[in-house]
Amino acid sequence: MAKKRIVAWVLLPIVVCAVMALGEAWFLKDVLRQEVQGVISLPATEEFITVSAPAAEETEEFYEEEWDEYEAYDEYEEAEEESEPEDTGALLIPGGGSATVDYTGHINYLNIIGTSLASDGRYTVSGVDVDGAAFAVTSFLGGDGIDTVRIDRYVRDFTISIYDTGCELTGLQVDNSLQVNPVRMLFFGLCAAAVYLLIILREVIAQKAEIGYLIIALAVGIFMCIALPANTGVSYDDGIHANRIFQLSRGKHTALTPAENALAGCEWSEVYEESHHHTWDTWIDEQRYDAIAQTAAQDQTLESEEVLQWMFSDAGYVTQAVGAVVARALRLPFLWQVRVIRLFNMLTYVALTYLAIRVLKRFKLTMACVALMPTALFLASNFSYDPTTNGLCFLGIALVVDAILDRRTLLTRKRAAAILLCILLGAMTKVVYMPLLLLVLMLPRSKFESQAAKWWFKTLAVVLCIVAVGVMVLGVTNGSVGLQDDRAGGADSAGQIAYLLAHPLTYLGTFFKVIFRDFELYFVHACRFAMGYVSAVSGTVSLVCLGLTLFTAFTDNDTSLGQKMNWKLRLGMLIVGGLAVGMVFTTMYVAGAPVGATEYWGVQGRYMIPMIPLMLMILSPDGIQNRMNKKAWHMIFFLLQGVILATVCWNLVLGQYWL
Amino acid sequence: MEKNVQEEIREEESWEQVIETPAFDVEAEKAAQQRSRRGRWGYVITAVVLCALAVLVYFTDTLAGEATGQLIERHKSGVGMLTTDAAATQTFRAEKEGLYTVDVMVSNYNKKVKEGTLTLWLTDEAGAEIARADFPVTEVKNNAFMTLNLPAAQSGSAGQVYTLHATSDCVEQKGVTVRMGPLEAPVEGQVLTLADGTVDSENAMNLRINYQTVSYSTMGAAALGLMALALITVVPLGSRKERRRG
Repeated sequence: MAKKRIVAWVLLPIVVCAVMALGEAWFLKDVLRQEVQGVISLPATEEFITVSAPAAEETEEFYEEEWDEYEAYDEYEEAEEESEPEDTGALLIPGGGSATVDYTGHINYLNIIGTSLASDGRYTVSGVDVDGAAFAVTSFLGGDGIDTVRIDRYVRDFTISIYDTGCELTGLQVDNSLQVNPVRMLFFGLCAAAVYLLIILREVIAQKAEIGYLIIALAVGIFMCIALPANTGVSYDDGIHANRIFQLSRGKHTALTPAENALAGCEWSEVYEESHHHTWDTWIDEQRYDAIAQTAAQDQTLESEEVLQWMFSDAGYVTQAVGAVVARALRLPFLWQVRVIRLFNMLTYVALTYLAIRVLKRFKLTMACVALMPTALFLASNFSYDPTTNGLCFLGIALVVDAILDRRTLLTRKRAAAILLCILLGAMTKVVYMPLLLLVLMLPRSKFESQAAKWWFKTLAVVLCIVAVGVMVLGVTNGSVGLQDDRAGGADSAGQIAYLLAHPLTYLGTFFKVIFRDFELYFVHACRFAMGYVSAVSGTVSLVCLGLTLFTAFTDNDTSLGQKMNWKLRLGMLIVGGLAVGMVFTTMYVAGAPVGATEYWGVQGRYMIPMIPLMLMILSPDGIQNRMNKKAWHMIFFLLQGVILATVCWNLVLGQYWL
Repeated sequence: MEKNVQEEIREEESWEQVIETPAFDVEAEKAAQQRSRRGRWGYVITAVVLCALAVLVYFTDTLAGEATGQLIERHKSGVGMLTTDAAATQTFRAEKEGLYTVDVMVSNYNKKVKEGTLTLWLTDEAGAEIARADFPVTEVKNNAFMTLNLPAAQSGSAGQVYTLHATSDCVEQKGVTVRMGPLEAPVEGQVLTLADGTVDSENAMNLRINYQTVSYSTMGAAALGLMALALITVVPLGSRKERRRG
């Protein structure tokens, strides 16, 4: 038996390497079969490329619409005439126009060499392949004068359509060179490793579901940390988080390097239609981005000096700041420092959620479902304080729910301290989660040695909750903590608080109306599949994930454990969860919505993540039991989770940035 | 026999222990209770240490800032040629803690003067002198601020009344003066005495009053204090995972 295990472990790296090699070879087979390989330059001349300007009528109508409103438009036109470019040999493609290229052959990657005449150089390459199928690929021509877009077809002519203000095209290259994609290989390797480990450890996973979780979470987490663009403008407010992480990593008297400042200011991502875009969207582009970032990082001058003072939210940055210190000490290239910071964040989240699943006797797989939500793992792989908050809240909830359900075992000091400290530290980053401390009120009398001990514990837990919230309110009133967010326009926090106090019932009506109307958005979709500026997943994958989550929650019960949830416990959880949700919505209402508004501003599904385990536990009936073979069920569960996450990683991460 | 009956009664009434012991072991129970008491003290001591750290963090993790107050928006005239006979004075009430410099706008009537000294000094409500400085009139630039530095930031300055005094022994040309401007409305605690001794309630010297603010680490101290409170909350609980009879 021991020999078998040793052989299995020895085979692991061999299997992983074999899958990586075979997978990459599969994707390179079309390139290998091409008659013409290497890089072919296409001349950017009018004999070879036909430029079409946008239709004149459309232009006139467009101008007419704008004529009355913008007098400056005339000046803009005149300015254009005055500054006609000298003949640099570049081909000018006007905004809204297109260039049709006479080329027939296989194109693996197409390099567009030129200069965009706007900060956002969006363009589309479209055409028809040899089978008659149409294709269209959109990308961005950035400031470095070259962009690569993946075509991977045998084409008959293709058209480059330019948006906005046009570009000057100086060259085109068809790149059919053999390019081994290490990130794609990493994807295959991690998938192979995860599946292999799930199979060889299936006996252990049957008894310890947390091991199965660890395998999937680490595989996906490592991939996302490395494959998501090492940039800001990828996740929610990641520039702000990056700024604070870099500052904290340098101590109280802090300063940032120009590269760190660029990252904090989202200077390396383009903003288009109020959304950030990482414009280096192929493996070849990423190499150029790496070179740009590394060049910027050579300037180690410290600027933006500041003196820091501890804030509640800094609890969520500690491990990432440690990661920054470690990465700098190792003298890693700048973008790898970014990846190491994310790795530390992800490992913190995985460690906390692993402990949460391990602690639970009932609801192990339910907690695993929540912890493996794509949104949660995506946040854990970026600059964010949400993963530490979510991880600590999950662990705190797991500790207290397990304590409540195990009525016969006395509550020890260690367990009680762990419950309070986990929820306290998790909620320090976002005080709106502090009501989760009130879950301890549902601990039955049998958990305590005496009535006095019970009253002491529960009373002080309530006091702890009130004092923590009070400290934050004090911070807001004395100006040390900013609440009002003027991004929405029309925010007036003081006026809004006065309105709430004067019209509490009206506000409650607004709150419940929005919860009822948008429940699916906040609690079902956006908290699970929204991935910042990368995109969101929907369709079959989302449906399968939802089905798996609900099935797991409804059947996550083993009657031999004797852990039943009575109606009082479910009601208590609903009230506590509802209080936390109410605080989330009300805080955003006060921070950003106009006074007396009937809609909320800025509430995002990811704010509900800490309450999702409670929601699923409330829905889980005692009368349904999963009698499936545990070994088989756990394998199916984790394999399905792996397939869902692998699909997300392939479509949204690999497909968007590395192919 | 009586002893056995008593033991049986004790066993029926006591909770079952998860830790398997063949019989009720008095020594083991005493040792367990001692460990529990030590553990309790461990939590209390840790809570006390956290509280001490909270106090330390509150006073050390400070953030220094600056704030400035102005008596008037625009200057329009001067208080008259400064002499040594009588000082031109401006009384004002400090709005914040940490008063540490006072800037006053001076003027040489746009004429270069070479000999003489401009003297500025600040007194508190009781008349005690807080700071004094002499400036050669060659350093006086027309309509520029000159700064009177206090030896240390004044804690407790908020709401206190101070008086700035200005004299000069310069008799060249028109000498030097301090600029003044109109008040929107009279302010309590704010009195201007011109160089000729006249009290003017409608104007004030063009002063900038600078405060050094210190923000103590409320959040840092609160975080540690809350953790201490969490540890105190669990002190009465037991340390052993005992299972009750179902």
